[in-house]
Amino acid sequence: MNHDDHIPKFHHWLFSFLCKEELYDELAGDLEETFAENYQFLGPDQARSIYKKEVLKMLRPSVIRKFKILPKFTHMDMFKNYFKISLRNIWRDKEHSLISIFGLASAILASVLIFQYTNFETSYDQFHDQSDGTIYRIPRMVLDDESQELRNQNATTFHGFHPTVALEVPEVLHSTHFSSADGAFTYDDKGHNTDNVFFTYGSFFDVFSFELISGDKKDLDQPGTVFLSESLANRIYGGQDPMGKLLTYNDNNSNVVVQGQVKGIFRDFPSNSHLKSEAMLSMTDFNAFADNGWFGNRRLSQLTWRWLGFHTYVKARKDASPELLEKKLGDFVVKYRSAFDKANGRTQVVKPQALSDIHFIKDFIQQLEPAGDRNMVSLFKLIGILILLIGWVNYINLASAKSVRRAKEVGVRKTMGALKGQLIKLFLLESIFINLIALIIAAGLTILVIPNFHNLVGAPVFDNIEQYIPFWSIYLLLFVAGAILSGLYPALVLTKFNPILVLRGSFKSSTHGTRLRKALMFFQFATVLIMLSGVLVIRSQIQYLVNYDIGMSIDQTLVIDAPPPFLRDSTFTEKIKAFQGDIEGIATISGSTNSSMVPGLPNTWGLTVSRTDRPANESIHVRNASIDPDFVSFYNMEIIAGRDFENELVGDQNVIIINQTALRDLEFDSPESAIGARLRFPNSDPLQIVGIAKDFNYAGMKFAIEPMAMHLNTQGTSPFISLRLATKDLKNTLNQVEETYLSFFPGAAFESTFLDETFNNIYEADQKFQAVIKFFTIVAILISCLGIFGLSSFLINQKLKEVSIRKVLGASVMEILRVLTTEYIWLITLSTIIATPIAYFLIDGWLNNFLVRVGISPISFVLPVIGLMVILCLTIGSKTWKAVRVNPSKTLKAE
Amino acid sequence: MKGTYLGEFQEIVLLSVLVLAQEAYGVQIQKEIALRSGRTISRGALHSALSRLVEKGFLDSKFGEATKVRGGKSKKYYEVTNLGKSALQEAEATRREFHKSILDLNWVKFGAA
Repeated sequence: MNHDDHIPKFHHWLFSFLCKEELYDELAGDLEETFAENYQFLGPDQARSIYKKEVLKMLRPSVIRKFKILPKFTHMDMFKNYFKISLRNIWRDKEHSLISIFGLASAILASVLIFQYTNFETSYDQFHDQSDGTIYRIPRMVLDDESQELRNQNATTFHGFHPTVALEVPEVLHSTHFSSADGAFTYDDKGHNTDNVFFTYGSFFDVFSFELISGDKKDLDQPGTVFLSESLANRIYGGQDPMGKLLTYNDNNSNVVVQGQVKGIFRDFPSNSHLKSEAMLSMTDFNAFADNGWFGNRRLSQLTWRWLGFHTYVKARKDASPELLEKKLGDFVVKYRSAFDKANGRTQVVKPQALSDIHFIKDFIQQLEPAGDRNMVSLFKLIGILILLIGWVNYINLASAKSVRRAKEVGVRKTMGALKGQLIKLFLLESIFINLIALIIAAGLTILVIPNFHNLVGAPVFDNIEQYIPFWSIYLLLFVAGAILSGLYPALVLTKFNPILVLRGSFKSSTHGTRLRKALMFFQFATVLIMLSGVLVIRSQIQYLVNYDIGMSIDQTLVIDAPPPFLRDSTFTEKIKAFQGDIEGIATISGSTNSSMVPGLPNTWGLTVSRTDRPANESIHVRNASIDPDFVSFYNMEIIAGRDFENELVGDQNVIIINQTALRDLEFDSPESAIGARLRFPNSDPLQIVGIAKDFNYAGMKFAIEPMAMHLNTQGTSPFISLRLATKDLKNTLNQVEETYLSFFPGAAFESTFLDETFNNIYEADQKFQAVIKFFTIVAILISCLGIFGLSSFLINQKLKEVSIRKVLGASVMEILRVLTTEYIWLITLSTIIATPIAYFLIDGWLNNFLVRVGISPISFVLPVIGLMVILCLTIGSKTWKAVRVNPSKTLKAE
Repeated sequence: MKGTYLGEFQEIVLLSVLVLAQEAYGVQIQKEIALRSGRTISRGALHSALSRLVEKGFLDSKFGEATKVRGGKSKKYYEVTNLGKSALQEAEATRREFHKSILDLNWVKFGAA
């Protein structure tokens, strides 16, 4: 076979296309000759690869021909010249170029960060495949028949909903539910604490498109099955193959213990999913424990439509409208629930929530994650746009103010016959060039700050950036459009100059575009003022929340998790008492208490109670907590009537303390009249009220105080032990506590938190919001300062002569300073007048999200104005001062 | 003068053209260099060196015959000009001068020791 047929076609063609004609015979011939030889001695494969390499190495400037395909390309030289001129101009005025470029780069950086954050927030749960059906969450709401008010919005629904719904409602294709828990997996005598354990069925994977790497989803319908996420499997088993390994799960909050086998590994859930699971266990195990004693003598099958707390999701047919679904699912639930609800005068309502909305749905209890805020996302988008605009405003201001310097160049070009269109092209190219440099710098900076930004917002928003390519393509397009627009104005100003005037030299100072410049500066000032006021108010609101008197003292309090249920043998009560005794023996600890509720953690336990002297259907829902006799005094709570629990009274096992809200909701006339009254409880005899506690807000000021009933538990089985530390030396004390704990309860995981930290975590979302807003406000101020600095220093240089003449005529330094800064003072005043109402309106709206809110103090509006004045004086001060101090003879001499 | 400077690689190329005498065209020069100095160079790199040497006037070139194995494209033969030969001699002389002084230097050092 001839070697010619084997020569790499593409490379052969490429070379013939690119090579200069006069070199082609020599070089192509040589290459082919070499190829033929290699073909013979080294074989076709090697010969081909050598040939390809040789061709690529041959592509150098001296070999590649000059293409002159279109006559248009003669403009190339012109563009080259424009490019050169741009570079020279940027280089000549380094200070201003730096300010323009750096200002733009910071604006781009900030906007990229903000937009990616909003992208991330709006991308929640979008990755599920919904082509074959729409996914909904089924929450539970209750309509009060009498008042027609919706109450008890809960993100979960009844146990009975899931398996039955797909059988009875034809629109539902798949359904699933799960119960979320936390506990520890033990393998090889080592415990691994795990949040977000889901008890569920294989149908979980029918509804959601989470990826099962290995294993069969059907196994989840069998008891003793464990599915692990990739990262948890790694944590537990190191590098070993986890499949088929045995391990034990101990639940933290119940008596559930599962001896299981790893039968599946799933890919870690993405961070923009409201579901976050590290491990899945079979719901059949959960049901078995429930059926075995959780409801006394009653069976789970009797209670399946009364047991709440199951996160339930359905995949419905695409052609079923939400209204139809709401109706059908509502009828379905009412059918099973009416027996219980009729007597209580209420009706169940089902409003399916589309998956993509869930992240932004607020005010539902038992949500898996704190909700995002659509308003906040739009606000951030707005800030992103504003910051980018501020960057461009700077550029326009600087470029148009600087245009005087280029006037002569324009004059000469025009005299030489340059057309207006050509000049516009020149200046446009220059601005695009500057924008491009800024973009490249911003891209580099972005990559550098991504880790810090992730810390700031508390989510890895830049992971999987490839999902957002469409958005960023649009961003880039808009950016180019903005760059052109921001270049267009200076270009138009410049090309308007009359060459005769300019070249005669009678054109020295620029009054062109001062009005626009002022308008743009006004816009910058107003934006900065609004953002500053916002930051101040957000700060004071968070301070207010953190320092609010919740009716409990939480200082210097350490909370440790009580030993998990699997360690609770017959001697547990003695052991925990002994442990508490030992702990209180530590000199630096002044007290301890064991309870099911601590400030700062949501309390999801609740029951329905009613007064024994009223009909049973006049019931209210109360939060329920078990405490020991020390709890009330430990947390400095106040008993306004009756008494606290007492350790010695055996009968105290059957009495309760309620709070003021419960007192009011139960319609007692006075605290005193409630003492001695009895309340009906489900699953127990009526309990007597012995004390009324003053309202306290354990859940933080974002939540209203709910009615609460506390009962006594002296068995030590409540899940938290609180310790009061009487020292600043936290580390040592903590070590001592841990040692004692582990010596009493070997095998348990020691987990401790400081209460003030947990409590402040309630406001984490707000604090994050504050941090992000603060960061971007600083960026906005920085960019504005840069712009004002550049602009003012330039304008002052132009006014040097005016200053000198004033001085010669006897003006004092102060008077001149006043003349030079009046413009800015006026601008700030005007911005204040416009910005204050807007800021007030926005801030008031934000504060209304809170149950308790600070009043808006005038300081929040005065301080930013003063701050802006000071910053302004500092930025323009040094240049102005220099201008004023200069000897007039120096500037006046040079004419 | 910049024009007469002879780089190390260019010197090798010149020498191999001299060695090949009547047979000096691209492929042969490439092979000759590979054979004598043991380094494989790409045809592209060789082209750069050759064209620069032609520019400096050290080499002359003329088109030769076309063969079938070259796909009917003609060879280009190179020949060292007199200018090229003298440049080679000059480079050789310079180098010899250096070597001599290094030897002298060594001698002094040994003498002192």
